[in-house]
Amino acid sequence: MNAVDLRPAYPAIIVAVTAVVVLLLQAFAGKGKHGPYVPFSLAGLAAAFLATVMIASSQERGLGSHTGGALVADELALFLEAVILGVALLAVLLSSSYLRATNSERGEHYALLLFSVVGMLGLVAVTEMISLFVALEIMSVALYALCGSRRDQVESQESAVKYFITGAFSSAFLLFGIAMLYGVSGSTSLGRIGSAVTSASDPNHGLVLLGVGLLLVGFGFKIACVPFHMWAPDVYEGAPTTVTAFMAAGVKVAAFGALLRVFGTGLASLADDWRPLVAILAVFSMVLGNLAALAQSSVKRMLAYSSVSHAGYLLAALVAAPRVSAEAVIFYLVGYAAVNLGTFGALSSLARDGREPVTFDHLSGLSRRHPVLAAAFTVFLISLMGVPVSAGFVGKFYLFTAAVGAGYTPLAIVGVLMSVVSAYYYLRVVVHMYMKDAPVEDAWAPVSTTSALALAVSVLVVLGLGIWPAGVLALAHAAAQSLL
Amino acid sequence: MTAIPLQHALILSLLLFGIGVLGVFLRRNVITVFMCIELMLNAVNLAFVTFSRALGAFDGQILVFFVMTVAAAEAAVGLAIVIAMQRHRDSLDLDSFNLLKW
Repeated sequence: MNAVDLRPAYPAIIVAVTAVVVLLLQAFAGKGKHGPYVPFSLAGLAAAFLATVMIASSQERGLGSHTGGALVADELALFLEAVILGVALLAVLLSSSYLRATNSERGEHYALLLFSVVGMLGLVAVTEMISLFVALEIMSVALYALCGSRRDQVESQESAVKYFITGAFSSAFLLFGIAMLYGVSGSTSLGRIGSAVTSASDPNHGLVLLGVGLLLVGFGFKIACVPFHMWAPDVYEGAPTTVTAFMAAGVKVAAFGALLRVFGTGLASLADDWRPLVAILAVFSMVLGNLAALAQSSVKRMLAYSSVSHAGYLLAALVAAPRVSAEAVIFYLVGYAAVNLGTFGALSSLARDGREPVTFDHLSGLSRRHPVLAAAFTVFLISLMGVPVSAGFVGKFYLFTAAVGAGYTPLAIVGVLMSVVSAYYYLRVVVHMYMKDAPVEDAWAPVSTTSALALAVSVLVVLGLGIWPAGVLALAHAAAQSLL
Repeated sequence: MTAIPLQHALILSLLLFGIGVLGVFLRRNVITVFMCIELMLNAVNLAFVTFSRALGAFDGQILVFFVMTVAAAEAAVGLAIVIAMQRHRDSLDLDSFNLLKW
């Protein structure tokens, strides 16, 4: 029997060990005291990041695939793992001051965040369905608990219950889809499923389609596309804001990474069957997500609906699967992760004494008291709109080009029109920040150094990708190539 | 003794899954809804075991172990969340969880 090659799992193992250490720190910290959770979490994530870079720079390609491993370390996995670890690093930085401001600093918070990262790292590297399911659940179960981590707040508890119920419900659909594909192909490996389901004349084709449909439902819940989005606004609004930032950035990257793997490689031969379905989901997400965002009075909720619409933009590119779309999707995810961390992170960095800005009115006059933060927020919103010189513009350009290239021009047209609509609600935030007076002289907290660092990195990524996209595009291209 | 045909087990699995889905939509108590989700997971387990037996491959049965383990972990976290919710409110009715709405 072959020795198992653990190298593809090294980043995840490092993060998991760190999570256990942080939990133990909490246990030994004593009552009412806090251990050094943040430095330990940051060190663990940085070590995992280094491990990822080292695996990527070693010349061995496709590690793990030849040993029958469940995880693979190809360019796609390594690139998305690096992105996820970057997201986690920034999320830990943002959390440290937010948790102090909301009086909920606990070691478990960081441990759960790290466990969730373990799941995400697995999710982008899976080559077969068992690990897909396990990784997805590791990520989700930790996130359910994180959403409810503000035990004094009933909104936080409510969001946890809602996320838990919809999450478990969607997992069951995903599993049933896996069962159908397993029944037809006799294997849980993506490669073998792919070769088993090729012929459309197969008498089991109905079973295959049922499986693909159920998988799409399961993933639809995770990426929050219409009509499986109803949990997202509630959960994004109720969860602690740094958790929302981490969730909006990390889960999207991980879930789309897994989606690319399952639909881009495993089920690529069935593309003609699932493409129309994905196109329909994309149109509904783009239209309904943007229209619902127009009507919101809470900024968090508005951003949640905007994330629904962005899932739609990403799905619009997925119809061009596998080659062109993967590149566009991967590139878009990097900028989008930075933007999500930035917008929610900016809100969280203003928290003081358990209060934080929620509605548009709360942000009124922000440019006077926090000029730098308001400017950074504006950069993120501009990127969400897709205005040139931001990551969002370049990203959307590639997404819609991919859709047009696959012969789905109407999708691109809907996407562009809806981006115009979205300018209304994004600019509303800018108008409140710059052109309205603060209702009361109630200054939000000054932004802490750690939050400022995280936000500065996000701004740099967003502007960097917008002005000089070539570097990351080349990496995204290499990652997309490894899918084939 | 005659073996149970593949189709019968699959139809049972589909039925159980359907009952679970209906329950999630029709029942309003969080605990009952959670039990319905468990029913869906077990319906999937039945499908995996059935396929595994029919195909003579063991992957399916291995997956069932993972599903059971994950379901247990999920139950632990889920019930903890429900208890935390219960501390804030006396009801476990899903319709009463309406703070977050527009």
